[in-house]
Amino acid sequence: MSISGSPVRLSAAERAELQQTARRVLGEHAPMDRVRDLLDDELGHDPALLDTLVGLGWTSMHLPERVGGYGASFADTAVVVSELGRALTPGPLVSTAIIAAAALAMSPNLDLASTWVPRLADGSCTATVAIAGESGHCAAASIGPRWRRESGGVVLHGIATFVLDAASAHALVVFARGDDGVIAALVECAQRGVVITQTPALDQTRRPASVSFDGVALGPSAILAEPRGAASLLTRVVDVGATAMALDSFGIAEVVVERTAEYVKQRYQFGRPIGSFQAIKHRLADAVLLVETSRVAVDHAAAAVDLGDPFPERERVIAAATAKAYVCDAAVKICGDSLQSHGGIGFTWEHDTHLYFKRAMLNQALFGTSRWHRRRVADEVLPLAGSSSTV
Amino acid sequence: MTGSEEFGDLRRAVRDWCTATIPRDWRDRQRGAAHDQYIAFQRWWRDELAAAGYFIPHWPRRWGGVEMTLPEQVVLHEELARGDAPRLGITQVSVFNAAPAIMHAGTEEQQQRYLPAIAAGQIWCQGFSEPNAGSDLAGLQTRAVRDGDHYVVNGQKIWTSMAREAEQCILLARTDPDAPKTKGISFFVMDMRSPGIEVRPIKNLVGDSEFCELFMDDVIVPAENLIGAEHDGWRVSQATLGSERAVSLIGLAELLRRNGRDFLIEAAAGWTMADGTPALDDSGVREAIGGLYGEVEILRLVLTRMVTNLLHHGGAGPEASVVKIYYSELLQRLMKFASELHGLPAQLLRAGVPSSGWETHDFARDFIHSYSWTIGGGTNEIMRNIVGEQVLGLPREPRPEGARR
Repeated sequence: MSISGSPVRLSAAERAELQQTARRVLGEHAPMDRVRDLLDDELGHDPALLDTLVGLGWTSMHLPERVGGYGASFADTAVVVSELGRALTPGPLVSTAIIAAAALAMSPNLDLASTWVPRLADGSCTATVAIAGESGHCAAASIGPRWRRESGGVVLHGIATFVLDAASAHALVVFARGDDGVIAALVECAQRGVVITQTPALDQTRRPASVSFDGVALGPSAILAEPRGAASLLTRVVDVGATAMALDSFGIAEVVVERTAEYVKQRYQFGRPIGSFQAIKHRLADAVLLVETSRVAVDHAAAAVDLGDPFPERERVIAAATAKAYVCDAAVKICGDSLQSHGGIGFTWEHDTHLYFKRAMLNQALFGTSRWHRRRVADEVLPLAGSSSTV
Repeated sequence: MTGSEEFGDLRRAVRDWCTATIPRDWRDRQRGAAHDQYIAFQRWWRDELAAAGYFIPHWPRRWGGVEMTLPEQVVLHEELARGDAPRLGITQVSVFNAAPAIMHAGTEEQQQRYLPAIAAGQIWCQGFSEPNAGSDLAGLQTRAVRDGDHYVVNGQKIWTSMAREAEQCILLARTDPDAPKTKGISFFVMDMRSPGIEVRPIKNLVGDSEFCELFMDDVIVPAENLIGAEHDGWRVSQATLGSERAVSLIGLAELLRRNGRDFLIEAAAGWTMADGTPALDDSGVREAIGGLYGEVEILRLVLTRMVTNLLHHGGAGPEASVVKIYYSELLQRLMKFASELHGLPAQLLRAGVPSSGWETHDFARDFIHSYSWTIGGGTNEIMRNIVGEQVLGLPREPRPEGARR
């Protein structure tokens, strides 16, 4: 492991204060009408907002001090990630500062880590992680880019899909597979042979892209992890990415339940608020149950994937995979049920329901499907079955 | 979650105690046990727990407890489950329902009268539900009429567990028939040896006769047995659904984890699919077990969170309803899955194993038995009303014209 020292945890009160600050700042700088303005914007986010968030320390607090961070725990930053989901905030904070920075900070290439992590932490550059191929899966067997050795370095070919915020990024953390296994490498977006094409998703608060690598040549210094270390780096990065998606979905789930409850209190039919009907009330009670169980699941996962002091691998995988599957599914269910409770008005473009619903669905599909994550848990707790192993 | 390294001394002590105390073959010996054999076994187990200080460990020292902290209780229950401890059922009402009400609303004199007996292992029962007051518990009709220094009680209770063995009963009875429903109820302790009480056991759907009907015909209850103020019994009864109940859920959660989920994984290793391949090689099965595994972990987390909140902020509140729904439906999902996966072999009739709670290792039977949790203690439909109304502030259902409030 490349990181030493244990994280400085915020107290419960400090964490609650951070959450309030995040909610206030995002409400001021990225209110819903601003989110809507950016839906069709090509860049898709507000660079000034990212600067503001950098200024608040949110891109660096959880990163190790040695590479320019504050050494707080991942669970502290997790509060911010959930607030970003709650506010549907567009922009690369999560893809660059949470996921790509974690990948770099955890990589065995200390030179690259100490060069790039501070740039991501101070917002002077952004980076993002490229894993999935055409299938969209992020298991080792489904990695898109391919690598082979050539004249002392490696060459990359192939395509990575659903690379978040790639079009505005300066660098990519690329996982590639080859005959000798998986490697991870740092590729600058300006490098020859890198072609980035935005692939708009149903969720227009996000900016995924496909990245094609057409003979991208890399020297040994660009290698983040050789086959021996890259497989475990991949699972750690997937666990961080999965936890981030679960946190984003948790924020969505929580706010959608609040908004739906408000609506069914003031919407009258048959002479009474529709929230007094058990058909509506019980569905919302189920949503509360999902939110409360999701809350502990994401908190647990955030503690598990800590950069400085992570859980042992088995516990980490179980915690992150459980949170990803459970919470992302919960958010989609809650959004669908909210649409149903809102009736016709929820079916309009003007109503915000679809924005939450679409983002929750993308979260569910990114960084591994629920199905796959449940099988990852199974692989940790059941005897490995030859035919059904997911590793 | 509690790391397994924490509280090492307590953990080792409980583990050693379990090894020395729990007969390895207790399940075999209890399989098909008659009711009185079951009760005798339970009494033995209660006394063993008491001798070790594990019977009422969370109680104040003043009343015979050892003031075990919450994390310590979690460790205790983890180790009891790991050691395949029997589930102590006979004192559930005395320890987790009666005692909290008495500690909370009883006078000093009442506490001194009842708590030492409970600490010594006395069995109590609970006379709350009636044939016409189930989900609508506040509509109960059993009457208690004041007559000088005592009350005269008439009425009928149902689903009263352990009524045959109980020496005392916590009783809800109507003392003011003209007040709004919840305002005219009082909370009593009724001596089960009082003349006029008749107990009839009810055989439940898995064949046990733990719960009973309770008929009261001019039963005299001394006024000094009134807990809390007259007509204030509804509030007293609600207070008992507090942190103590949550603490008892910790034990249930551990049993679900060890004897439900982990036993399923162990048992399913020997099961096959229709084509003869191992069940645990099937990707659908693996996915389902992976999901259930995580959901059981979430149960521990949400329970720990809730009890921690209770300790810091006091009062049970609607979170308890969330946990009750989640636990009971997770238990049901897990048993349903296990029963269906096992298929026909799970359908064989086998004698039950009392003292094994809701995880007897017979999955089809356990699936059916799990409905006692989605119905009892307030149906999950009532729990959902509570969550909707008290957590989200949704309006109550309008009452039909003429219905009593």
